[in-house]
Amino acid sequence: MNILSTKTNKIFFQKNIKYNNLNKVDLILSPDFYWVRSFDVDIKTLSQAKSIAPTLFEDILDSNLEYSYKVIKLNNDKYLYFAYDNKEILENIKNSGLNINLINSVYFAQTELEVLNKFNSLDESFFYTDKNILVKLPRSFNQNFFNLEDKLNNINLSSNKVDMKFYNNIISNKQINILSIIFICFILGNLIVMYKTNLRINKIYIEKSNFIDTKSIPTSEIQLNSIVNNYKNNISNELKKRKIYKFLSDNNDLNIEEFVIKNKTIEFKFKNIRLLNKVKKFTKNYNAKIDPKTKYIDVRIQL
Amino acid sequence: MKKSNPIYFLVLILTILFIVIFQEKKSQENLKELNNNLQLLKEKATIYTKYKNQWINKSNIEERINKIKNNPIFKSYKIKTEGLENSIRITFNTTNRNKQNSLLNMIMNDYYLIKSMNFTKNNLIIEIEVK
Repeated sequence: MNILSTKTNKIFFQKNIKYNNLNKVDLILSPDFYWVRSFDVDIKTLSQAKSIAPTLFEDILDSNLEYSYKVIKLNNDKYLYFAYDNKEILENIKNSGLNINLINSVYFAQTELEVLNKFNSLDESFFYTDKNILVKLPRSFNQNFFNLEDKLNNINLSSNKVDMKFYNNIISNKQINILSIIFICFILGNLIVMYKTNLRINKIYIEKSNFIDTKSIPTSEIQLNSIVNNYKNNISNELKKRKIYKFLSDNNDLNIEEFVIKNKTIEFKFKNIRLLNKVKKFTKNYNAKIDPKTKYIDVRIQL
Repeated sequence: MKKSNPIYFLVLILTILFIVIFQEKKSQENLKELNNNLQLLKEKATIYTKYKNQWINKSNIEERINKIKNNPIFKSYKIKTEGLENSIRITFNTTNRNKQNSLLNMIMNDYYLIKSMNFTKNNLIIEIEVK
């Protein structure tokens, strides 16, 4: 149960009229806004009937404008065809002062006002012809014509609503649909790639965990880095020791008296003073101290 | 009656597409980073295990030193080894310079952490770090 009333006002919408309405409204379009034709066609379905609609109005419509069509099936082979310019109606609604958000539904007067047969509205007269088509008369009649305003709110509206578009886009709905499908395909494609990537990420996590377990290495990367850096440093120092040793063993004529290693310090004493420059050249890249004594030369290298 | 503009739907889809592309890129970067980290970890693990097994493994080092001691070139010489807390001391008392050099070459050409060394005319003392 609704506490607030859901009842909407009805407006017979005519051209160049200003409206002032703050409630929800149903618009009933005057015949000024559409073309209507009744045809007997041997077509069974409504969609088939709608597909031929543009050809049925070719003789009267401007081919440069874009029209929308609506088809209502009256009986077995009889169809009521409507053609309307959505843009023109929208422009008129905007110019009429009506708030688009307050418009509930839009109808053709043709399908909604048949019970009145003939009526006047705002100095204009309308009536249904012998072929049951609502037309506007060139001038206003008063004789036996109902005043529409008195009857309008008592009229029960049908389900034949106009499929109005309340917007103007640079690109058509068809283009929007195509682009949407393309973008959705891209989204799905990317989601699939992302899913596969995430599977690979999980696989790497598992591989990493298994690797740490099987290799018995520290689980903390910081700890491993620190240990490995320390190891690298030790290996580097050992390689330096070997390089110095190689130099000494390759230069046998140095007459080495003593060769001492104490952690990161290497000391050696040699007698052959003539090779002092060679030793100096070699130790140039090290933190070395060369101390010539009386009988030998003392070299101390700090790694 | 279509009051909502389908272009909004298109914009929404486009926004979702951008978000998905962004997330996908992030996942790819994450994957690349994890892959690099794993490779780096493998490299470090290789250094770690190689170092542990080759450079400081006590039983491995003892085995290698024993091989040196049992080498026929030192048959008539005595190489003394002594196990200390975190090291093994090798003492080779000889004045034979060639034998001294042979032993030194064997030590220096293998994976040992030389903690200390004293090489004089009369003897050679080497202390090798182990764990």
